Amino acid sequence: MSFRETLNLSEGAVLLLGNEAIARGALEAGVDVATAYPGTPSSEILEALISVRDRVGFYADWCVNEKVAYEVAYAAAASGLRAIVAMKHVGLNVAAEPLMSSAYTGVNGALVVVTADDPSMWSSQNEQDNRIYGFHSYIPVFEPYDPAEAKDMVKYLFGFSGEFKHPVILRTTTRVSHARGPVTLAPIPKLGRERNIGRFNKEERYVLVPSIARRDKKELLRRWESIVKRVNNVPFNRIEGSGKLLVIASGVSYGYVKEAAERLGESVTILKVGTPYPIPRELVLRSLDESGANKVLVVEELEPLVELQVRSLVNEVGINVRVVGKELVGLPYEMTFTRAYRALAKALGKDVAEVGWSAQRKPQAPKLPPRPPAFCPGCPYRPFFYAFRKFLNRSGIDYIVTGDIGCYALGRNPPYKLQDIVIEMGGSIGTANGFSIGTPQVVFAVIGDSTFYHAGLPPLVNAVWHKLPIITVILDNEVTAMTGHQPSPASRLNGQYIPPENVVRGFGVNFVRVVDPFNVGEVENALKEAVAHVRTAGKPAVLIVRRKCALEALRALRRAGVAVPKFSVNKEKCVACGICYRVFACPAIRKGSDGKAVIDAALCSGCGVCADICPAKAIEPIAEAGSVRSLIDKYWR
Amino acid sequence: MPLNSIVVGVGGQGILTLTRVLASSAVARGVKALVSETHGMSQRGGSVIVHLRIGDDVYAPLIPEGDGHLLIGLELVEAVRYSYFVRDDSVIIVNRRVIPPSLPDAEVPTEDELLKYLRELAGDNLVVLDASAEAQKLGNPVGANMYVLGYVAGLLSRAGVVSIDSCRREVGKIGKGRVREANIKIFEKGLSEGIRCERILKSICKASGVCRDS
Ligand SMILES: Cc1ncc(C[n+]2csc(CCOP(=O)(O)OP(=O)(O)O)c2C)c(N)n1
Ligand code: SF4
Ligand code: SF4
Repeated sequence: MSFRETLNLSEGAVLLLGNEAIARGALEAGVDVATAYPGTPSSEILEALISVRDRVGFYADWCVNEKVAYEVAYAAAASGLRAIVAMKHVGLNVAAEPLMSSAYTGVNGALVVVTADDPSMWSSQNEQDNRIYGFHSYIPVFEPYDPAEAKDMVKYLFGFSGEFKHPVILRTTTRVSHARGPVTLAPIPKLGRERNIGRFNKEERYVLVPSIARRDKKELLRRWESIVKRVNNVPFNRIEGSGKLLVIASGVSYGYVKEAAERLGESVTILKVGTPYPIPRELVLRSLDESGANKVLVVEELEPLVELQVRSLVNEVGINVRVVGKELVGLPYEMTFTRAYRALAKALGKDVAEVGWSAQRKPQAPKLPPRPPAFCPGCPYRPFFYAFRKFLNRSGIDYIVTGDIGCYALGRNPPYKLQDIVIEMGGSIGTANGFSIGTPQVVFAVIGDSTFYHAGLPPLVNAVWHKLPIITVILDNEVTAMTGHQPSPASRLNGQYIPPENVVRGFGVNFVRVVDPFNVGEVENALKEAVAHVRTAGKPAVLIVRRKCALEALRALRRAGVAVPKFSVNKEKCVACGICYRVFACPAIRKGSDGKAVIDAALCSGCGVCADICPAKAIEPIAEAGSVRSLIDKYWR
Repeated sequence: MPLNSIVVGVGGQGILTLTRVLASSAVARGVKALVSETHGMSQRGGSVIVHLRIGDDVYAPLIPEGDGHLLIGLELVEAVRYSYFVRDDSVIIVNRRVIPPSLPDAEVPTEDELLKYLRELAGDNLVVLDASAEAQKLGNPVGANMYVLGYVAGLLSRAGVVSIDSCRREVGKIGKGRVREANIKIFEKGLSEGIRCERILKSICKASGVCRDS
């Protein structure tokens, strides 16, 4: 059942993705404004909300980055509306500035901030623990353990935030956001109604000049005090079971602890914590008291945030109880059953060597090849990196390629091996500035269109301002592909298209070329001219490499009911040079047993680039060449 | 203990769809299910693994290593890659298909080598389906997931944990026009095979203890 279909239901259990459950919770709470910038594992929250916004009656849309998304939702909440903003964990770094301030001012309606963390870095550059932002900012952090609880929590949080007129953080992780589980539905109050209109009353607390900020800080601490008391009475914190070992488990760890205790056949007291910051202090004390526990085991993912609070609490109150946590559970990466099980067994003084399921004998497995992800067949980035590699090999220049976050980061893999540093969004142009100041090497920055608009504008302005000789390559596939094809300002939608060339010309970049990656020669020439320009003029150059993401183009063909054109290898002409499958490396082209190329028609997306680069002209369209060209021109510009 | 299934294959084979339909059809039958997905690799030809747990006592998303009762592989290299999840008494259901990774010099074991290993692991509890071939014959060359879905749904409906009606409804919403028609045919074919596989049903029930009256 799609998320849209569930709109018609107001009871019963359906299977929802954790992120859809969060969206559903917002709908049941009567959300007015929802914003986000995409990022795995958070993107489906806003995707789900956008898919129903017109039928329910509220505002939902993508913003250019997380800071702006935060500010939009915050202003709505300051106007008395109920707002939610969603992002991946590292997105909260980008939005950290308004986050900190929003705690000082508070809000008028409700503001729910969703941060989807990624322990184990399944699709991220780090695994920072955003619960710590709660500590840093005086914003309470709630953490669900499964999709059903995620829905209930979000709904509850709109009320909680409204009650304290204070922002709240909902922290999920990959294994909640990207888990599917049964979620019990309740009615959606606003279904089919007009959008609510807010009003901003211009209270002074919203103007953070020093004199008012000082006053706000006192108010903030007063609110915080009531929040600290209040979390003892939220339904997501509760004591279960009985036993001399008290296990305090936060978020998804709760599920593993329950399973491990069952499997060990041991009875333990579990304090399930849904508010890792601040912890429910009274509940911790009560669970210690009721269980008579002499030992506390804290099981949580990543940093010892709950553990440190528990240690400090027992210290403060003067209770003589041993607190263990990270030394048994381990710090990095996501929670697993095995980690919880071993920690629990150790804390109970049981011998973990008895664990039967991990001690099985297995036959010798055949050696398997790795299967790394690769650019899709027909991806416009492949011919770009092919041309780029060829140009660099030929020119022999001493270069640095700074990279960025997006599908194109795969260009760092063989055979192209292009991108020497990838750290964070916008980092390509920023570090290029620095490398051009600090080294004599020719510096290229490659960045996607969505990333360019997200965080690439200020560093490019800096390069123009300081006349830095860097070559910025904007890989413009007109979409935010990596995170699931959300629109970007460079998408040609509803007339709101912002062509990057207009922007960079406006910045004062004199050398701007828009090139077609399907034309490898054109890309090579433009690179050559750009290098000459930065060398002679000592100023930045920008190349815009434009062609739609292959998946988007194929979707357009499918929607139009047009068959995808296919290419095949003429065995007579093929000389088995391997350029197409080894150097160009389209996954649709394989090496046959005779070394000649074979094209898998099921995978070919018909871009036709292989036909151009083949030195023997052995690759030919299956249909008539002219018709293939016109199809590509029509659906794949 | 819940029924722990590991579903694996190559991005683009429709693994998320297969698992989603199975899990929602369990929920439709009033049984709890929890799925943990890998996103992102699915469209770029990477290796994909999904954890599917069915049973009212599931609390956590990930299946412990060595605790999978059922390994469902849409591709043989990936089935072998994730075989460390299975136990001695597990059932392994695979599609007879090897997809070489797109590295020109990758050394890929043969179908026979891969199947031999899986047979050593599972013995008589290895089921090899010609899902890709059947799907091709019935009109959707990339519909192997529908065949395997039908097969497993047949087994699990007999185990009393998924609803066939719900599966049919969900399959009827996938794709459009001719693709949809082909998918339904492929699903039904798999279902008709799976539903009468008495021996494998018994093995699944024995390994997991999940079976209810059907
Ligand atoms: C601060 C931050 N926000 C979001 C993300 C998630 N993310 C990864 S790549 C990407 C954008 C990719 O879009 P684009 O630059 O257009 O490249 P494409 O994937 O289309 O090649 C995003 C938003 C992130 N890594 N960091
Ligand atoms: S999703 Fe689009 S941009 Fe990403 S690799 Fe595939 S074709 Fe290229
Ligand atoms: S036309 Fe050639 S390069 Fe393009 S997808 Fe097909 S095989 Fe690959």
